[in-house]
Amino acid sequence: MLFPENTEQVQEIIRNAREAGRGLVPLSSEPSHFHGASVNPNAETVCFSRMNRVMKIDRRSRYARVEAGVTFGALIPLLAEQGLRLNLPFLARAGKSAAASALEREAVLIPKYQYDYPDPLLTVETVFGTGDMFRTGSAAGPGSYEASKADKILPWGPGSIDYLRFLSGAQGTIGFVTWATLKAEVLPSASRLFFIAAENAETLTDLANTLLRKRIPDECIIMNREDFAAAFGDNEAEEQTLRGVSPWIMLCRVCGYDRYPEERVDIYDGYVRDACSEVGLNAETSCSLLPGLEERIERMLTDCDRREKSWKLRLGAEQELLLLAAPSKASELIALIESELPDAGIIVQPQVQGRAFRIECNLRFEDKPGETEKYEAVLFELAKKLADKGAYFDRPYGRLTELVYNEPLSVDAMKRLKTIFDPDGILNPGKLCF
Amino acid sequence: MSFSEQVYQELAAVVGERNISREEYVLAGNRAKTPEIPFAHPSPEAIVLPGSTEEVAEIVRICNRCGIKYVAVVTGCIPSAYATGEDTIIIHLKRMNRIVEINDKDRYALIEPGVRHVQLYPEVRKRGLSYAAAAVGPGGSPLVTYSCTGGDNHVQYGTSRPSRYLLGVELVTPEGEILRTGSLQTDSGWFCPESPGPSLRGVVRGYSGNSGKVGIVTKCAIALDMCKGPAEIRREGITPHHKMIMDSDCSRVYVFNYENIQDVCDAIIALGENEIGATVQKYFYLPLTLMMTNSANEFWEKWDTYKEVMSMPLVVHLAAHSVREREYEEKILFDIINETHGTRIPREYEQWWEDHMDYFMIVSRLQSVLRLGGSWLPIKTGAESVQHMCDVGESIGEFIHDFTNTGKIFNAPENYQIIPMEYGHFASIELLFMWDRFDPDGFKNMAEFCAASRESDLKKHYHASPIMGYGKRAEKQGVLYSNCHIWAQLIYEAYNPYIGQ
Amino acid sequence: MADLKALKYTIESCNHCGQCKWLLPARMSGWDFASVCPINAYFHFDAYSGQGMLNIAGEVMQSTISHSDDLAKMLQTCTACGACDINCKNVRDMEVLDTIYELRRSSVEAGFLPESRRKTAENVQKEHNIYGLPHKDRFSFLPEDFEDDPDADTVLFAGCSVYRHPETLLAAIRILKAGGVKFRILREDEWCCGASMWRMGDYKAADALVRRNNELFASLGIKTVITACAECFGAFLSGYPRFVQPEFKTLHITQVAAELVKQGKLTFREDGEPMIATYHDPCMLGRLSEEYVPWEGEIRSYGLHVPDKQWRRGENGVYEQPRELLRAIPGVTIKEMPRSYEEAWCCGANASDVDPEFSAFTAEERRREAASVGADTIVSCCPFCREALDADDEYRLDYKDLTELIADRLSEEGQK
Repeated sequence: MLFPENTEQVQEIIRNAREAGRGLVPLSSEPSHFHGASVNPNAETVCFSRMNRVMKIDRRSRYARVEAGVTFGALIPLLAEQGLRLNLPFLARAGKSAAASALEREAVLIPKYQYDYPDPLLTVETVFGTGDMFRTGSAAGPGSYEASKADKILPWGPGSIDYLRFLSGAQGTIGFVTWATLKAEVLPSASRLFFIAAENAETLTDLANTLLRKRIPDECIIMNREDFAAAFGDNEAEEQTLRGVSPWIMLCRVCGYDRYPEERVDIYDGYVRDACSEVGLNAETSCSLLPGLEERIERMLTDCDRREKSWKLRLGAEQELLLLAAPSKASELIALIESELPDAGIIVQPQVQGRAFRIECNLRFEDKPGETEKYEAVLFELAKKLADKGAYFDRPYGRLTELVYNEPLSVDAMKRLKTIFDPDGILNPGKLCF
Repeated sequence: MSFSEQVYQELAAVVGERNISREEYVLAGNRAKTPEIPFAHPSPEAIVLPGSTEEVAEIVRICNRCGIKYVAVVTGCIPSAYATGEDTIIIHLKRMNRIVEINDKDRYALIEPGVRHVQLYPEVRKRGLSYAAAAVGPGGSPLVTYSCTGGDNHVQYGTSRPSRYLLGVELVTPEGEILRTGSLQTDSGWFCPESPGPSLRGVVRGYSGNSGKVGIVTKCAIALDMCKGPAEIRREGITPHHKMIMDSDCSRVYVFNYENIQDVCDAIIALGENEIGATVQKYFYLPLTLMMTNSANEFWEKWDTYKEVMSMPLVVHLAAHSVREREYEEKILFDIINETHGTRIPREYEQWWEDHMDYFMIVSRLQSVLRLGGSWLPIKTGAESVQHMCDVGESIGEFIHDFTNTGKIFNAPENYQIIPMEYGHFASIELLFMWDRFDPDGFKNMAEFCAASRESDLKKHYHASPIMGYGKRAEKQGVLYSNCHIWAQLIYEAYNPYIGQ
Repeated sequence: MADLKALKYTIESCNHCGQCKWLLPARMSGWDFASVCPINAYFHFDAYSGQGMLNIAGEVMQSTISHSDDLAKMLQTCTACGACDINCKNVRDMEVLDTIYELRRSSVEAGFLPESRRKTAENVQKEHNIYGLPHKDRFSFLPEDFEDDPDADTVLFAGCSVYRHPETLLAAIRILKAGGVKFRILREDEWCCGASMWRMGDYKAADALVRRNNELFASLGIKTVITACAECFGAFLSGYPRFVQPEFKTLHITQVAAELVKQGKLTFREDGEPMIATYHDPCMLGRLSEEYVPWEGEIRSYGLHVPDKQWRRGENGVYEQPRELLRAIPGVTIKEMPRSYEEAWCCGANASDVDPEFSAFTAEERRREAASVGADTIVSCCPFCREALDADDEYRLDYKDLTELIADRLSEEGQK
């Protein structure tokens, strides 16, 4: 494993690998890699954990610039000191790299701040597979990083190409990112968390659609009781208690910011209640299954998961399936998952202003020999059925690539990109369609 | 090979005789000079009007086979919509004008190139939705705005630039293939722009569009937002005194004037932090005066007064879901305006905005900026943080007076706008200037002024202008921007084997 | 002589913004009915539009293209409806329609005019009407007992369409008589108003007619000309001043009738049949009827016109009186079409002789629009619009001339 400490060293590593014809795979932070982007037997690992400087936090323009190895656990308190927060993934691991999470297009909790799929990723510095360093968007220039007076936050370009989109979701196949600028938001001064229970997912995805087109909630997430219990329970017993919740639940938080925060919360409270009552649901501000559960959940929605072990690994092992769905397709896809795998945990996260749903199917099981392969196969079969119904696997890992890269023209178009930026195919080789 | 009778007949066989012409008087409509560019464009050999993606692909293949260049056009109001040399045809996409789908639940509209803002906006609005219509007037093509050109819009404060809203794209590649990007790549619909893995969306457009260098976009989906306001809008009057009035209790427009840009900057940032307002913009006083008057003579009559009253106007459109929310927003708005030393302009001027809600929907009447002769140019047109854009705006005063005081350009030194987006996360800037079309040195003055502006930005290391071009032509700039010209050239060559030919 | 150079400022001002082709936002209603330019909607090429005509004018001016039969046909196919002009002037100080007129004039002077238009010109020359029907028959339909007031200083001008639709003039007569308006009819002295000559670009013939009519009115002491024909109305107001300053006032019959209704001199039957009407604004009664005020001067830097110029932006057309009358008639409900008032879609009649297919397309587009708003009747007050829009087709719409509708619905008391 290689541990570069700066961009020049990353360049050197890549140039050497090119010369040697050796594959490289990036590892940004901690070694818990559910999706396998950083697992590649054909390549040497480049670990960015020593590139862990928080380069800048800017309150006025609301962003943080961090090296690839900066973790959520380290970054969140630093932002909070300046009255800022990140648009976080749900229960992101404290040791997870904030930059890598954004690069992987992990689902975020506050869809209203997400205007586009790469959000909250703004700009990056990368080293392409050629060994060339490049900065995206307004970080490109004019002039060197130090000389440019810009805040270096504009995601688009430079020019008429969106280079950031070649790196986002590319699993390190185009370039290794050395630092990233992340959008930050104002830390709320007041908030109210709602528990909205329903018998089925469709009612809640429709409700999310209503609320999000009006930009009402900050955090908004829907889950079935299995994942609700697993995520918020700290142990088996608590999980069992929390399974007493309705089959489906939406957690939705409204906030107030710098000025008259309580008044905003009250106004938006009314909007949430109105929207719920229109579809016969109740927006509750308490959940009495466990003492102090409300505070615990609000804390967990607004911070990373600082528990020692991932909630997904409580039983020992897990397999998951991630897909993206248009709102009009979401309920059908969820119903299919429920019918095929009635015991699976399901999380549904509205994304990009609520114009898409990230659906996550989680299978937790004991870490016994053969189990992982078994559940992997189960999920692959499910994925095939979901794909037939319009599920979009935009972050294909493992066998999912078989479902995704079968349209020759677009695969050829993607390979042309790969050839430009990684002509020798040394970056995470064989991972996607190249 | 040059354009020949045989090529003409092959093209005619694709589109039908009625949809192709080489009559000189027909070609005249697509080669004329315009006031901002005082030389005629080369004449196209023919103009073809395809009716489908398949016809476009077939035309491209014929052109490739016969060595004919082509330019795809919809509106013809941008310089790249003309032939640049001999043996070039114009592929006019006007007939491809279907709104294929407006998906209310998934909030997108699927459109063809020939659909215009004046067609799409009301259809979207009927469904309680909206989209950011770029400031190109009602006849502009949303598809072109979103997928091919630049295009900030005046209401992007609560939303964003069109580049954020481009979803699935279908394009005819320079090789004549029909490529579909994003979720379309796996037949999963139009909703997601990103490819699985490195996204081809990045090739389609960046900060600006690539004007068709990597293909002709024949369909695209654009994301829609909810519209805060009535589905039907009250309209009154006859041109040029139309009014479109948003008579909702939840909507208000306020205009404040400022004395310095840093105060404006503070106001925009504070508004954004509190997520107040649907539209916020530091507008420019020259177009504003032109929009508020009905002839050049009336403009000249009122200019001295208007430029005093609205020397640095901050326009704020509040649009709330309830009266209570509107009142809450007003309270915060006025606090911020007081703290930042803004003053409300007299109601007689402010009323214009209240009566012209079409400005906030479809950016109507903006072509009035052409009323002083049509020799105009928007420059800088870059984007970055609100603070950076305001710093860029402030620096304009350091070089513009040499031009305004000497009459080389129109005397409106503060004529730049700053439009924040995503509630103040970013902002775009546009320095709009005009020159005297009758002045024999007018075009030269224009070029000198552009150079001075560019030089100022580079000297100060301001990210104020989008970088254009690729290859040798862009080398001087590209080296200052991470050598992006080299990468752009590689990309264009990878996707367009005919580029540069 | 045609003088395109006088319009050089306009010709060189176009930035190709497209506003001449598309509806102004204030009237936007949806995907359908968004075009304002019939030739552009039909032929699609940019040349077929206000913008294109300016570009062609520029090239003709510079002699990079020459007049030809094909170009003449294209120029005369344009209905000269003026929507491009009004739309452009919403944001610009340009004379698009005047340029089209001048381009036609230069085409005619170069000897190019479609055969059908040549025939029209000959007809007017020989028989003083556009159809070439015997001049002596112009008023042959008048009842023997018809009496007008030969001393009146107001004339009811029939127009050439009286040959085809005498019922309209009879209706106008009933209205004026019911309202107690003293008027006279010119009978054998009435010649074509000259609109067709002027608008096709035959300025020589138009000039002769205009001067002849103007002198006739003056010699007869005519102070007011009333007409039920939108084309004549528009010609008197916006055509005549281009040749000679008229010394008479022009009124459309709907203006007169609306005033009479206001004064209580006209009343309507309460038992009129229900009608869901949509009103079609004729171009020459609506946006093109504003009085033409000749302007000569200098256009200085940044568009300053010295002396000040009175712009015709379509604002002061006759839009409200026809609608007031429809509202006043019991049983009539009005439904507005998306393209109405100054943004009305042309009926296409003006091109019926040059390109019948295009003309039919344009008219059908209007009937489709009328049907789309749920109307059962198109009401208008132009004999040419009538010929285009009165059709028996899938849209199942009746056509009613407003003058005739008013007369038909007058109460007995009102007709006294």
